[in-house]
Amino acid sequence: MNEILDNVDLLILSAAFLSLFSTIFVYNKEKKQAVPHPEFGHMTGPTLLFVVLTALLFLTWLTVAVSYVDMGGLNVVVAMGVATVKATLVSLYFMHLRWDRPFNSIVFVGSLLFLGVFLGFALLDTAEYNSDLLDDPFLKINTEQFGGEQG
Amino acid sequence: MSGDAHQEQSNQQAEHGDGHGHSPYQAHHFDTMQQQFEAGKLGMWLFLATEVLLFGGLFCFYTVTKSNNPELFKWGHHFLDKRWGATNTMVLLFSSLTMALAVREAQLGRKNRILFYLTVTLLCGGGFMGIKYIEYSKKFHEGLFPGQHFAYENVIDAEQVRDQQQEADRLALADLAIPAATVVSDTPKASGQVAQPASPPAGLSPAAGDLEHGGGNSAEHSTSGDDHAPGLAIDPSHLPPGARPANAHVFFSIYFCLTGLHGIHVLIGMGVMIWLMVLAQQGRFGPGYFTPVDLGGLYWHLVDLIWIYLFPLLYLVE
Repeated sequence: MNEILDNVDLLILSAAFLSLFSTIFVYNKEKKQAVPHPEFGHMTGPTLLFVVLTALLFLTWLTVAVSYVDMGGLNVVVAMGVATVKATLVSLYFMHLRWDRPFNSIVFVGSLLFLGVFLGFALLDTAEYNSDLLDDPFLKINTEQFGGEQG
Repeated sequence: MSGDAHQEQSNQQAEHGDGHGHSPYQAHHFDTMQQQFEAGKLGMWLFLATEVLLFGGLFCFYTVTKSNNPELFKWGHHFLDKRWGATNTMVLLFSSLTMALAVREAQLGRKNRILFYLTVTLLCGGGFMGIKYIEYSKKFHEGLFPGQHFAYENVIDAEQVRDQQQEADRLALADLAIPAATVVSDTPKASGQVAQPASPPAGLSPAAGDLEHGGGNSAEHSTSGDDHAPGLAIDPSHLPPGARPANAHVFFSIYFCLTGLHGIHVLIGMGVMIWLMVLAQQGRFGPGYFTPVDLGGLYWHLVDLIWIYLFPLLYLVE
């Protein structure tokens, strides 16, 4: 078990290739069948869903593999960039946003924009606070006695 | 919607033979099933927006703490096992695929396949929570609780044992360095041999035996490390390198708040799966009515989406 876990990047990579082979298998099966049309709403073909899963697994492998390389500040940028690509894939294809009414996308992207405003304004003045504000009396921990390096 | 569309819809639904002229699932304040479906979907998206903002508060906690105390995360992330985190990511991504396939089967009205894909999704959710259980129980065993329950004494005990070991290693190296001075000044390969002799030369002080532990980097040494200090909650070899920052417990407050709220969402999602399975078992879903599966799927995908961000933020980024 530990040997498998120690090579988790290889595990993800093999899962991604397994998903890739499944995609080919599903594609060959799907193209022989007539495409069904729903009464309403959009029906996503299984081939596309498998393609998206394959992409997601490859991106997961990428982000785990990159985490073993120290690139300083770039690590955060790469990790967040890959996560955003993955989130876009999930929302566009798994959550049908690509074929939905645009208003649903506006609601979702709007919530993310407001989250950005929230984070941005919260970050504006946090550096102005007293650095030992974390010694909150409610926590009832006097962290001074435990030592550690003051940041 | 015009009356014509309503009429057309009713004609289609009449095939189901309910005798009402429209689908039994259509509420009377909607013109068509399509309108009902789209209204439900918009409502779900509004709910998901509030979910994003609910997690947003905790992401704000993370961002503000990290921007002010980056060393806290550099230290704390060593306690998280990215191997389990990555495995959980795969499990959740796969469950998202099976959920999307369940929605498709609901649109096609194939009952057995809906049940199959919902079951796989439910099992994946259970697997996710099982891995969470493994991770959490290790933290609880080590006393790494959030807030005031954080066991600083466990960390400090382990740190003391580690420091003693390092000190003993340094002394042992100094002893060794006298006869091996020529080797040390040689190639880097040779100096590596000095740091990790295959077997300690006879006649050395007992502390020289610690050399093996000092150079230890795998699980086999961690078991022998326990012999030195029985009753240690945290294995000294698992401690993060470098100094412990002040307020170390705050890292675990953030970790448990974020993953805990996410875990609760996974549990709720699993409940939704069971509810959908009951509905599917009753044969309710078909081309004209699949809204519950679709909306349950949206919820499940959002839980997946949040994990996509949580995993790198907590496990990977330093």
